Amino acid sequence: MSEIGTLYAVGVAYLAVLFFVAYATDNRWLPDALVRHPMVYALALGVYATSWTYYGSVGFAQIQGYNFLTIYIGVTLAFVLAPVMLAPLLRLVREHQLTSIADLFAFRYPSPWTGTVVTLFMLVGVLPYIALQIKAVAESVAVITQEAPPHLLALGFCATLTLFAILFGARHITPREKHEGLVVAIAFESAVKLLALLGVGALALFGVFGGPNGLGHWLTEHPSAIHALYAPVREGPWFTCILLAFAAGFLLPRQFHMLFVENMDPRALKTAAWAFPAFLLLLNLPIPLILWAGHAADIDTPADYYVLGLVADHGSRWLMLATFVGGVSAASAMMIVTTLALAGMCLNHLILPAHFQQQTLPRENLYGWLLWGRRTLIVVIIGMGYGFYRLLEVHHGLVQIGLISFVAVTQFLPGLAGLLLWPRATRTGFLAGLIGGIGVWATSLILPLLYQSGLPVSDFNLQHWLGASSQDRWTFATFWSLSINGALFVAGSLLTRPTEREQAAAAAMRPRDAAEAPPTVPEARSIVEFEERLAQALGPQTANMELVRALADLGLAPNASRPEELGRLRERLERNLSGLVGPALSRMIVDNRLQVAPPARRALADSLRFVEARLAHSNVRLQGLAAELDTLRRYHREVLEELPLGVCSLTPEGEVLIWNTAMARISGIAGSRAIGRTLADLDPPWQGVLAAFTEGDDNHLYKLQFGVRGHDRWINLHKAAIESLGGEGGGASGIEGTVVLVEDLTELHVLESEVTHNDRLASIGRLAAGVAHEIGNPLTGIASLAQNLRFETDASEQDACVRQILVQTRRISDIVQSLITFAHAGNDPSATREAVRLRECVDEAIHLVQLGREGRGVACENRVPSDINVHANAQRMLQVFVNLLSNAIQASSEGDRITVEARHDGDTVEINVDDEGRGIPSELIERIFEPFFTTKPAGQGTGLGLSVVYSIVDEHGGSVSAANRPERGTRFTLRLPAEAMPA
Amino acid sequence: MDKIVILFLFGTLMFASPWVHWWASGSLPWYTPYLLWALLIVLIALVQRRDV
Repeated sequence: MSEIGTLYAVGVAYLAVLFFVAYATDNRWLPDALVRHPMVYALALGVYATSWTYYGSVGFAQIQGYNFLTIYIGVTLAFVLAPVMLAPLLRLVREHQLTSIADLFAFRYPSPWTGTVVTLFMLVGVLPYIALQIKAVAESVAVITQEAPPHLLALGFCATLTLFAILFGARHITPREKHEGLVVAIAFESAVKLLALLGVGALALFGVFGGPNGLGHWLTEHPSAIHALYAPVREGPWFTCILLAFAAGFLLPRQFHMLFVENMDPRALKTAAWAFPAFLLLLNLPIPLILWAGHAADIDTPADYYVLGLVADHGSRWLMLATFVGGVSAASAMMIVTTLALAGMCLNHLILPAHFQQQTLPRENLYGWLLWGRRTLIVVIIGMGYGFYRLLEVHHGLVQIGLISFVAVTQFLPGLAGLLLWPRATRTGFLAGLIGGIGVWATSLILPLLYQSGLPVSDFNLQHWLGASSQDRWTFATFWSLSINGALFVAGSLLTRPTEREQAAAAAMRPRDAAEAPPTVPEARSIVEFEERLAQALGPQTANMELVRALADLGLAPNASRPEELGRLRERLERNLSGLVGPALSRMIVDNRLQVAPPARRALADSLRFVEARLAHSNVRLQGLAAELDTLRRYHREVLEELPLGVCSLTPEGEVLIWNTAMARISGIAGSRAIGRTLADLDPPWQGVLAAFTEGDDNHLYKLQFGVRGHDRWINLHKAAIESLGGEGGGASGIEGTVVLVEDLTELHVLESEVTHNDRLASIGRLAAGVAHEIGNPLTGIASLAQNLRFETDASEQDACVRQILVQTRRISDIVQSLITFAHAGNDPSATREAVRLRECVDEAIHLVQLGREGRGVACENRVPSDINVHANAQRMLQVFVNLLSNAIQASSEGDRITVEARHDGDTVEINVDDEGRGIPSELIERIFEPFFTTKPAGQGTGLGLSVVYSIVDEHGGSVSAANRPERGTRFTLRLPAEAMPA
Repeated sequence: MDKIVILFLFGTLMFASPWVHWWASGSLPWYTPYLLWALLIVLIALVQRRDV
């Protein structure tokens, strides 16, 4: 087999091992503890070290001495800031399911152009870097075989990598899934290139110098070797390269992908913060040794390939193949991950928005379309990289090409600073700055590169044009591109106002601020409506799957309907779709299909609950005025919660905002089941009761009676409107709604009923003596008539006796019946009301009170017209008149007269009960209806009579008052609802 | 947070300030930048393990 054939076979064999590692991981053949170990994540970040590091570092060190270390020390400085810079970015990327650097900026600076510009810029900026990898692999073969670079082998290498990227990087339906197999394979590649390079370092140290002592002697004999390393640090672009590497460490597409998108556990970042720089240190440790060994051994290859040349001259064949594999490993890892990241960016920000605008997205099997779209793009991007490699016939050093990409990604630093630190930053500023930076980058680095590569482009070079040819080109390009970028970014941001979207995105970086923005409420009122609307954009199958996924993510039931739940669902859908089609398109779909309800519907309904929940769970300690306001808020909340009245606050849409403890006790509905729901969602009968009351005109409703789980309840309801509190400009941003107070009267009502009943029994007790007398007289008569009957022989006399007995018996029966009726009167408060003949009722009352001893000396006159009826419960009315007449009799003297009169007064009947008694002292007249108030000596009155009258009349919707008559005595005036007697 | 800022300042001082000229003067052993780099990595590891 030819040398090239052997190398190709070794390369293919190595990639086959890579396939196996990825396959074994995806099939769970490797233990989870290993796959998810933080060191695997740290090693996977080693994708940063490409052919540039593996081969090019020695060449870089040859020209720029220790400046080559800047490319790794800059990354280390970026990872020092992992907790304050990388961790917040990781949180943002995970929460909002962002899958690339373009997604990140499109999320923070929402504009149709943001993602497109970033993607195109990255594509142009990184293509030379991909070409560099292909060039490195091809040239490494050329170094080993001493033949011209084999383009066919390069093509085969590209084809194999394409296959790998498709199989292991684009195997999931959506890019939001993690690719464990890919991560482990890339970590494996990092380990391979580290071991290979350490092996070459060991060969240099022991094989060339014979060990550390030999190295020491050689350095003593060649002091210029060390000087050549240190001198460029003092003179070269050290600081520029540190800055470039700082940005590239996490902004290069492959770094962003591995660091944020493929991160399986955020805690792994803590380990990676030191383990990844340690990996880079170990990787760079052999570089000076290899460089010096190349000099000492007088290797005749370019310094960029001393790694291979040294092994070819001094190492074994196996070590040479291993070193070659290390180079393939470095190149392949970079190409695979970069291509995956770029494919996602191109799909989300170039292809999908165009299809969406033209409405040519597939209605069926969108997932499959996306998957094959990414796979096609992988082929296209690697193909473009290969084309770039062939087209350019690059003569530049590996490092030169790599640094062009580094300067490109550094243009994202101003935008990133705005994302992390400056909420005022706007998309206009970002795009203006980025385009300005790209302009400088292109005219100072790209145009000269293309021109020198023989392409028919302008020979314009900004650096020469400005007369700064003596300046280091990297420092020039970096300084001017970043300066113009930063200046335009700041100016553009200050000249424009952040949109609502931009403010929300900026707030997402700060969890405390995010708490102030509760989910918006969508117009769609149900899950079914969500699905119908989403299906218009995604097709029915995808819409259904995305809804199911979002509901599962949130733990919501498929019939969720609360506005707050639907708001969260909308937000979740946007995040999930962001992971599927990118934030720009996701936002378009959600904004177009799941429109937000008008501000009146939102009305900050959820802000109360959200802010309180976030504050309750916040670990942030408030200080100063904020702490005092929070204490005040808690105090007011506590007052509301502990209020013995039921408090229920409603939005204009009837959504419950506040449902305090008393309300939960009265209604039997826990706050957790009521808050956030609409009144219509509450258990009956509360849904009907509260809905009718809030929609009605009355602000107060007294003694409302209804049944709850078989028991009667009596409540008073009060309501007040809350109009636009706190919102600037009122209306849209204010809090509006209704607050309802619920007074539970059930216990009071039961107590009143008992009091009424007791009062009735007391009345009977007072009547007892008179009753005995009334019954005794007819009984005596009956006894006499019975005696006579025994001896009576005349039939007509017998008949007269019997008739008299029956009359007397009926009289007794009437008395007993009256007592029984009175005793049981109105014990049931829910007794029905009907038309009561007032005259008959007063007659019955007079009859009863005159049974008593006191009643006999006082004349009671019923002057009530026989056509007057009231709407009342007859038994309870009887009790009213018995109490009033008893009271009047007790106040009267022998021979006095009591009159009862009545007349219609509109819809009411006015009844006057007049006596000729001693009247009521004017200072006491206001208190006579109070319970237990009496002017009688102790033991002669309960003080409940008039109180019961007041209670019964009030219950009937009437009124009662008392006044002293000018001539003598007292007048009690009752007003009761009139009712016509049915014909 | 404080430790992170102090550590970043230390790293910046060592590698992105005129202090670079001190260790790059050529009078120190060739592995000096590696030692300083390793020191920074050890400090990162210590800070990460302690808190944050």
